[in-house]
Amino acid sequence: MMPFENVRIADFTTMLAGAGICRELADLGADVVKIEPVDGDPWRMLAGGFMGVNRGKRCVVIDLRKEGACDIAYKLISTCTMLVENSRPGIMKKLRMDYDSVKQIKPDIIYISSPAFGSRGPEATRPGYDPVLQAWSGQMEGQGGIGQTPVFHKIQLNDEMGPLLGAFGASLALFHKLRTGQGQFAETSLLRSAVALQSGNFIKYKGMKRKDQGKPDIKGLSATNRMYQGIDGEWLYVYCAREEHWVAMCEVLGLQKLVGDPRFATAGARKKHDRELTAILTDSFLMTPAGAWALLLLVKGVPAARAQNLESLLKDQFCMDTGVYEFQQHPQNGRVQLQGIVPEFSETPGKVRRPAPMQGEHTDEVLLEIGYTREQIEDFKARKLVVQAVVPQKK
Amino acid sequence: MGGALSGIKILDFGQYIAGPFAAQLLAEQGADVIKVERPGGDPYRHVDGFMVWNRSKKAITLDLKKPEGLKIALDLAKQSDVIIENFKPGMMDKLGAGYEAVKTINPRIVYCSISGFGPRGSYSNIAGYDQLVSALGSVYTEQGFATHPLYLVLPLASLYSAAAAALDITAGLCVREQTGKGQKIDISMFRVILGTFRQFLVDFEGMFRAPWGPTGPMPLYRPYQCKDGKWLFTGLGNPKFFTLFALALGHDEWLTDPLFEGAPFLIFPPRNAQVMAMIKDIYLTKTRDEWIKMLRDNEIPVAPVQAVAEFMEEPQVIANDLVKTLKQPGVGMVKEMGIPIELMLTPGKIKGPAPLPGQHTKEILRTLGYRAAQIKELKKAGVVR
Repeated sequence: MMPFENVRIADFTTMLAGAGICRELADLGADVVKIEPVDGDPWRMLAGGFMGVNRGKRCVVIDLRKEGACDIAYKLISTCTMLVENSRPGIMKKLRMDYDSVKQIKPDIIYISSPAFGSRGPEATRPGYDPVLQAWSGQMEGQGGIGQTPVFHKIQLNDEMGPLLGAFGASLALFHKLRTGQGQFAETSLLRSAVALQSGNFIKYKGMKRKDQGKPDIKGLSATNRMYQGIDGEWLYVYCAREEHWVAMCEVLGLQKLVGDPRFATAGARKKHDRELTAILTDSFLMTPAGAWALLLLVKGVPAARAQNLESLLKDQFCMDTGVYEFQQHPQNGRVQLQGIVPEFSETPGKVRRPAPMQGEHTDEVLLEIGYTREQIEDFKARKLVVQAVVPQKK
Repeated sequence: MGGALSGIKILDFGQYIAGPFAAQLLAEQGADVIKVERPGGDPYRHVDGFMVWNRSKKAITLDLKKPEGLKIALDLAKQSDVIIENFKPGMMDKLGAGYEAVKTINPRIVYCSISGFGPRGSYSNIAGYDQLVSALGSVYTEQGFATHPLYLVLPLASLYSAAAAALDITAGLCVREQTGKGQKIDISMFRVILGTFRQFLVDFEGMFRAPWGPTGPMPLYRPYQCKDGKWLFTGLGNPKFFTLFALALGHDEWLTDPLFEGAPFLIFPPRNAQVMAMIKDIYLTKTRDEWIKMLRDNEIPVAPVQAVAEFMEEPQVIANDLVKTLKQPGVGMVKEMGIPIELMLTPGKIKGPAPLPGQHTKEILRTLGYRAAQIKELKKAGVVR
């Protein structure tokens, strides 16, 4: 058994944050049916990106703008436990797929909504993408420094938090449904994700000293908590969290004399002479490859790690040994390496059920499953209400 | 109606960010959370975020290294539905309160361990500090320059792991509701942060990888500086917005110009630098507020680059109930995060500010049947505080 094995989800999402909610749930066993418009999820443009957030799902194409198509969607929804969407407030209502409409068909539906700016307030209907929220919420300036060049985070900060919060909400609603039989409406948003990610500095009180740590070019927070470069040009992170780490690091670097040096004898003194210490350590670290330093430091109990990149991560031995990756055969892209399931459940582990679907790959399959006959399906296709993809023969 | 998790009891051995934040998210959806602190206290007590990540909990200070302290912890574990801990792998086992020990007295327990790299493999003995997870997880290199990595201020691995733990614990509770059985859930912060790269961490023949740098490689999806020195972000996230943008700027010819082929996302080097230079000059002709008004009037996604303190004042943030004012002991009135997930039928609730160390020790021990004299003894022996 997988945690959400008996949960079917009507997935009306596109792009990242919403699609990611369903990806999280699919990873834990939910049967996610992506309902894609005829012109496609715009995120299909980015093949790697699309595969990452849509794996494990099936896909049907229903043209909801066409007369009669709505009923096909309703019939599908009536077999679902949950519906997830992330459109601008108002759009689902236009499609007659909003909570009030869907509740008529399926009174105990769990309806998860994830608009960019939330459903209330003056900006609710504005279009928004993750970096728009990165800019507006303080994440870009917090990293780049006040008045400096803002930093656009490569990790799509809020688009990555949204799926976790949305799937958390979905799980909460499922838990309540298991206990009471009741469905309900739940909402998250990129806005909420931006607040949650900044929960440690989305704070204001009298006398607060705001720590503005961001700088355009920052390698860490102090000489004993930052990155250094090795002779091979690679970098490592070293973090002397405790006094014993500092002493051990000096030993590893052959800088025992620093331990007794009054400029660096205490944490306070080191803070005061941070720049000097950084310069000394920078020179010392430059004498050996970064990876070797990290190992030497770890052996002596000093928290340290190499700074990897995605290329090296894809080949990382620890990842291989511990099953971080899965390998799949994809109909269009051939052999694909991608990350496997993140959480490890001892009794009910999740599973990547299938690679990301082609647009309309499962239209016939799903419509048959929910009770339409072949004749009806052919009629829908002739009227262009639904589209079935031509699936290439697997090599 | 109460929260979705009403009646669920959680024992939170968490410290720093990931463990406590997960427990707080669950507490405000209805669970009763007891924070178990060691005599030295949570090392993050001096950090502002502590107030937020520990709201809505009760606190007991317990020395798990003393047999009587462990007994109290196990008595609490026996009555709990969920345990959360984020010590180094193996630490809870060594103390005698690991999953195997708790399972024998409470097979229904959902036991969540959050650690830097999970319990297996060569990295598992590396301390789970956010910085080390981020370094090994490629975060600083991928964000960085061609010549060197860039440190990130937000402790992303910890924050995402907290939300992941809240989600997975709730999933574990859903399973238990159907099977009656608990289980162990391991959350590796390393795996979680890799998950945030999921769209890039895919390898197949033909996968395109663009170097990123601080402002990204995409000329139609990046921050730009305006005439008054202020910055904005233009997010032309699909071809429709690019069309609106070109028309609004009076550059209809862009729509057929081969320079812009593949807009908005697929303009690769060297064309991206050419487009960037063109647009950079255009933005320098008006102030930020002029641009924002103009772009918003044309329905184009745009936002000023501003500070978190300004964001907290935004009517939109307030309208979505995301700023709450709490009286935090010793600090006074504090404006802070609301509840990031909103359920209509079972709304969440902030139950109170972060507890002081050992604030509820006596009360919690009483529920276990300890009498006043015994509690005094335990305090004297340094078992509780």
